[in-house]
Amino acid sequence: MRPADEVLREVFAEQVGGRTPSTDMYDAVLVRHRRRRRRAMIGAALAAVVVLGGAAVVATGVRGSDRSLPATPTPTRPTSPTSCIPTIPPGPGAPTLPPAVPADQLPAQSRVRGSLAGDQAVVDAALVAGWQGLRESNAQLPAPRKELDPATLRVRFVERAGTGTLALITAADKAGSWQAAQWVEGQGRTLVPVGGPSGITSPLDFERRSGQLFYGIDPLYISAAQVCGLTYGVVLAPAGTTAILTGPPHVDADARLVPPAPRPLPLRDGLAVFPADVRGGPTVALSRDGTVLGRRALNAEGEYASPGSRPASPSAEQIDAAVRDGRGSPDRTLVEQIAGWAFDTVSRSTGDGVTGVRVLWGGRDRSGHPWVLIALRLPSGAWYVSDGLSEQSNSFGSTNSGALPADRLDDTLFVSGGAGDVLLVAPKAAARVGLVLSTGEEVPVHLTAGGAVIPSPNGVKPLRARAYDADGQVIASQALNDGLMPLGG
Amino acid sequence: MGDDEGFHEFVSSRSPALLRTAYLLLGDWELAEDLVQTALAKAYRHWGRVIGAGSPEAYVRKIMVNERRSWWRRHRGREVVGAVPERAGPDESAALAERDAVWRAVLELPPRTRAVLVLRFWEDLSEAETAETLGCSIGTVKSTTSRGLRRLQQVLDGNVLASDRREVQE
Repeated sequence: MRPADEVLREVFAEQVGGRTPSTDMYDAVLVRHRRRRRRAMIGAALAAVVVLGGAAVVATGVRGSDRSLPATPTPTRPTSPTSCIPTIPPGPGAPTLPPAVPADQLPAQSRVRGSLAGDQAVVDAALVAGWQGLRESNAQLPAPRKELDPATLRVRFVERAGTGTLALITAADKAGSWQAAQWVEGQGRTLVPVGGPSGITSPLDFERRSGQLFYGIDPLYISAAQVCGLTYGVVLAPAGTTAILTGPPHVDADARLVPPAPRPLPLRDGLAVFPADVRGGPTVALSRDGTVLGRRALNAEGEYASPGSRPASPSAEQIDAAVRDGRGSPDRTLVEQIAGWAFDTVSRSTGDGVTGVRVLWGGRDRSGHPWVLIALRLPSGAWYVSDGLSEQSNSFGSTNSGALPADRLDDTLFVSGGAGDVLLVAPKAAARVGLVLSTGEEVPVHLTAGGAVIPSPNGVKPLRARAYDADGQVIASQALNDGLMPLGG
Repeated sequence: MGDDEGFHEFVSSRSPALLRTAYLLLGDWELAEDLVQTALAKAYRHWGRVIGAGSPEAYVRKIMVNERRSWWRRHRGREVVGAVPERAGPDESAALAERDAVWRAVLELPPRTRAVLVLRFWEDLSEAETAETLGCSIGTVKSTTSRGLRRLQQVLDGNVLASDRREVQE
């Protein structure tokens, strides 16, 4: 087995690759600087109302003279929650651009992928909306700007995504050194730009040097996008490519991390737009002739809504109920913080959501800092358990966290801490609990509502704790900071 | 306002390296770009003093490390859409699986532990430089490094057990 630091250096190098900033960092910093100064000036003037001007710029399709393009409806903000036409947040400094360029003044498209590629009206609408979005984004850059060349506009694909439509449009600057990309989405032929995926705005030279083919004739691209509030994986690949989707692991009822089963991801003309639950970082590997061309997570880190089930951290009502039903005197703020962190951990490490939350115990250490033990219920019935201690107003820590089998929550002895204080939460059936020291001596612990926070005897952290029933029989024995299975491995 | 030309040159030459470090701290390219831009914008406001202090990269890196938690929390609900493919190469399933497991474990490490490992094994900073960047003692860097590596070794050995306090928010 190789040492961890050696593998770690490899992992770091592999993760970062030859990545360079996708935007002009200098321009971006200047924009931030000017915005900050502007905000500061507004604040100094005690402006009572800040008008977020710059109404959403929408793509207005115009009938083309030579392609008989039907009039494209002007997209509007959603009139109902179910609308797939997204809103465009108004940019505070967004300049007002002239109306969208008619489709017949933009380059004709070929090699457009996707099931809607044959619908010229949709392609044109995507082209118009994409160009408008790209111009809008570019116009917000400080001068001198890289001027995008409309002749380089390309509709990469137009595909159905549930009841909506998703398209990706790219364009290069006139110097041929830079490309930007734009998501376009909506319903039918009503499409609007929904912000540039800045992560794929890159210098052409970098793409060429690194062998990444996204901007070439045969794109190679793995990402995720949201349409109608649902998340879709997006894969663009060269002809002859096979794609394998590997989902995230799940925690079973025995608290075991069940590895995902890779499955083929069908590509049509090198394209796949598919409903994706991106929690836990499912990956797509693209291969051709036995060589892996690319392998990426649909998202590296972050949270998405997922089709069918929207994962959400425990609600305020759930937290309130858990605090109310919890043993001891749990601090609500800390419960909410540690539950949120535990939820993040579960979401990031697995494909599991959270179906409930319990507070197992709450109390305070010698200095009055709140300490809680909470448990999140996973879909399999297993639990993700974590303690949480807040030693400062703006921070909290966890000593012991991990998964626990479905049927073990009420009969497990939890013991967390170190050389300072120790948190003990006893099984429900426990009559008494003792701390076992390295000398073999066992120190009895007085429990309050089934739990306790006590100073480590003699300032030395104990080895383990034991719980006894009313007959003096050991019903649980637990080493310090043990008994839970972390999800990271 | 500082020396624009010098700042421009610094950004051009060092932002790729800063971006990679930011990514290893955050695990997300888009957030990493935001973090680097934030740190650079802060440095820009005091560029004269930053240059005068002699090590602008260390200054910016320190801002990044100290801002990383608030950035992650502030942006955790946003959509992340950018992900370019890794470079082409032969399929090495076992090694990939091992590295995937280690990377997942890195992402689960407490922020301070992850920062220590990034600074020590990616930036190749000394223990003293790492301590200076994080504003802690060399002893803390040593113990944190040890804990972090031990945890990753457990992953490599297939024996993962919780043992240390995790700082989940700072």
